[in-house]
Amino acid sequence: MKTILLMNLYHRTLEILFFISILSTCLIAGIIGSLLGLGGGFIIVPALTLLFDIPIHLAIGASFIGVLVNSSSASLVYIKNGMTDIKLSSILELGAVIGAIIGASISLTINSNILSIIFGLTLTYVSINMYIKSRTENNKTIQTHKKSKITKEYFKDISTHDEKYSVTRVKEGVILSSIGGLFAGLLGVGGGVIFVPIMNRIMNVPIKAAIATSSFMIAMTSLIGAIIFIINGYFYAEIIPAIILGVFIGAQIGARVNKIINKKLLSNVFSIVVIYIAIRMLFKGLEINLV
Amino acid sequence: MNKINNKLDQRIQQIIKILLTLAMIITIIWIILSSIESNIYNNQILKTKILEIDLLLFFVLLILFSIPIIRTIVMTVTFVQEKNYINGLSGLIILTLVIGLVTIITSN
Repeated sequence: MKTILLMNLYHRTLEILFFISILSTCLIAGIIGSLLGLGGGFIIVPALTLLFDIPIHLAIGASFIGVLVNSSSASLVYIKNGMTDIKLSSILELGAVIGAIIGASISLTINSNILSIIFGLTLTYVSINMYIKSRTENNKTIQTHKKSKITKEYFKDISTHDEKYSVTRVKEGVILSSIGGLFAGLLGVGGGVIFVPIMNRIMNVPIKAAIATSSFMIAMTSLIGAIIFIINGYFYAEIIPAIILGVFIGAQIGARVNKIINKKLLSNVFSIVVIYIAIRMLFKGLEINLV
Repeated sequence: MNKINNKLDQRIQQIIKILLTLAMIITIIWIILSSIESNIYNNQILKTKILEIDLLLFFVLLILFSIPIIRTIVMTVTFVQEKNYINGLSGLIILTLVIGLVTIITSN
């Protein structure tokens, strides 16, 4: 009797420790995601697969829910500050949703090793992009002030920054955002790393408005991914509450410490961490064991 | 036009805020109930399942998933009222795709 009680206590302690570990991981994902304008999926998926040895398809399914919470939470702050271009998002979401449906459907058919390799390669791109962005951010802000073709319907006043802009090349934007959606659906991430450059570099949207609008759009792509994965049975119920709570608290902390954090330093440090995760994911995909 | 947009912004913000808060409250309740398993009433709640998902977790997911859907409905209605048919049509197509997707997958 005593042994059974001790065994129960042991299992209970393990369950609590597992819950706290997932919660802490998602808390960090929420903070970093919120600070760097990412959905958090780039941290959640590798963390679940590399640290907790959860199969990548289950990790992706769980990540979609975390990304949905993170993006909704971040959108609250961005909409409040008048930074989200809702009209633009409603147009771009069309491409993103179609891409996400295709991406998530492909993801279900792909072998987990190949998925890990794709994830590793995408993380390498994210890391390089993050490093370059932190170096060229000042120049980019100046470029966005240039005005070209005026599309009246998308003209938007950004009240917090008094920054007016005109969205250009909408058709290209919709087509390219489907690629963002495809990656989001494929890897269980938000797709912000693709949506933001599309809006900023191609559509002439200022970087802050692009991040806010991308964050708003991400909720829809992650919803699509979550539906496809959950209905196909890739649903790890035990970790979902920890992910929801961790990401939500993390996103709130991130939004509050946003102004006191040196983002350039954070981007540089995080780009090194991402490169390390990318290598680990590539090794996992290639079945190379690190000592 | 800007006033309408600000109104839309506010409405969407309120929707997200309410639904997210509700989802967080139910999640916390679910976590608390799961940690005190000995209570017989808690077990009843935790054992009830919808589509093989715990009752409370199912509600959390339902609320979270309704965030983008409800805000798209609100956006579409507002755009149509504004006679902004391009954005309205885009919203309508997105909603159709989501509903169609759920219908196709669940019917299989």
